[in-house]
Amino acid sequence: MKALLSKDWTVSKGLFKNYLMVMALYALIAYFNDNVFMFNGFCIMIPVMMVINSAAYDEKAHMEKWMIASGITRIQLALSKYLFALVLLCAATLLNFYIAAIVIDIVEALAVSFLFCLVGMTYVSLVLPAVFYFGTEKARISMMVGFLIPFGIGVGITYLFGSLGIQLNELLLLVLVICFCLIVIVASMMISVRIVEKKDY
Amino acid sequence: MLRLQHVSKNYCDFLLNDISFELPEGMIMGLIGENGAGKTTCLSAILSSIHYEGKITLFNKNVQDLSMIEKQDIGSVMDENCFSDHLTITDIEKICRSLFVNWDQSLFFQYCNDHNLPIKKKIKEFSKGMKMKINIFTALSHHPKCLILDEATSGLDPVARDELLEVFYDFVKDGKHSILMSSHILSDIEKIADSITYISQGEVIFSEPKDDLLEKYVIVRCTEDLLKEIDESKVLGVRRYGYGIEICVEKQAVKEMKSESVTLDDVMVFASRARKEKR
Repeated sequence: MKALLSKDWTVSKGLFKNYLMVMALYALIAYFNDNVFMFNGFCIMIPVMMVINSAAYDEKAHMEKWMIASGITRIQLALSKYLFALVLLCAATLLNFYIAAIVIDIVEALAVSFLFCLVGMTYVSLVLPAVFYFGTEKARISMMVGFLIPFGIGVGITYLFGSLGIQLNELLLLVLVICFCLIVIVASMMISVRIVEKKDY
Repeated sequence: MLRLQHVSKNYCDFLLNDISFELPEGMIMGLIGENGAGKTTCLSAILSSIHYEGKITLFNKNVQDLSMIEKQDIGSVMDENCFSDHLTITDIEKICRSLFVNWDQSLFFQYCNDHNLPIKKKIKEFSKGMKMKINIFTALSHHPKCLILDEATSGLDPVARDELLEVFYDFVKDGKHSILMSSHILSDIEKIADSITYISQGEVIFSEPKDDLLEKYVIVRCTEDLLKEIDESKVLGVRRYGYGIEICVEKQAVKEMKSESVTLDDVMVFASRARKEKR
């Protein structure tokens, strides 16, 4: 796993420098608009893009084939992308928290940063099975759909509870979102492992 | 060391059919065949990168049961560069250091220095031959017991090929290491291999010691009338010209006729022609 993470980071770090520059730009825009969430959202998108880019680089160079030939198991190959995403998202969340804590209340900053992290991980989880199955080129459609699914489900839940006459308070909504995200993440991991195990490289 | 028993792989447009051969310790085996014959599929099966039917044993164990450390006793070089274009040799070394248990950093950099490979340059600026060298040096630098090389010498200039063949020869000289290499450059295989396995349209046509093979066949120029006198089962293949014919035939069948010794190229070309004519 360490080798896979090292590989993903080494491959992606060139792009990370470019993202840092864009991040600085977003920080300025967010500062002048007095909207820290805009910056938080962008910070979460960077790990997502880096994970997908690392998969694209692997695919282009046929690195998965070499990794399997070098003793990496297919399970490790699939799960390493989730771990890579988690590590990057944790770093982004930490940054988000520090920035948000300057502007808003610490508890709120913590909750917002955690939620952004969860959304990012869910988005990665929605996209990765398609990346493993179709390849990054074809999986771009799923990336677009991936944006819509969490939004659609959020609207759906609100509508469903509204029609049932159940009052959604913030805590209940938070619990529901966390449960939904965890289910998506675990299901996605299981699907990805299955896809990679059956795949011929 | 390596044994394939009835290995098959079915794609919708290609069938690797019942492949069996054995590579003993201390030997170099050349895997030859036309484009699309199934060489890469065969090597991919050995490296577990594809699913297959049949049994492949390496170091007396089913390859699918090998642990990570045991699997690292195989050094592999694919027919294409396996490293992202954005990486430098230093980056590759860093990745390999965390991947391979027996990674030898100094050996890797020694190979790179000996072959004038720029350490800080990105792979995308490398020539095809340089990229291939990186893959070969990576495979050699974690001290594997068995090397699986898929077209590893293609794209290299004759001098570099010769140097690498020397490296491969050194690799097996202690009698404990083996190499299975596929190549279209049959002169390389002829120079270095101890045995030859010829695959055509997904089937093994022969798997024999190289010297026996080159001793077994000769080339004879004759006429159609003379050809009729030769035992057909001893003829590997026939090539027809305007004025006569050239046959690749078992030496013992044409003892009294004037003949020329064969090269691996001849054996492959004649065997391939014969199969095409049969179809």
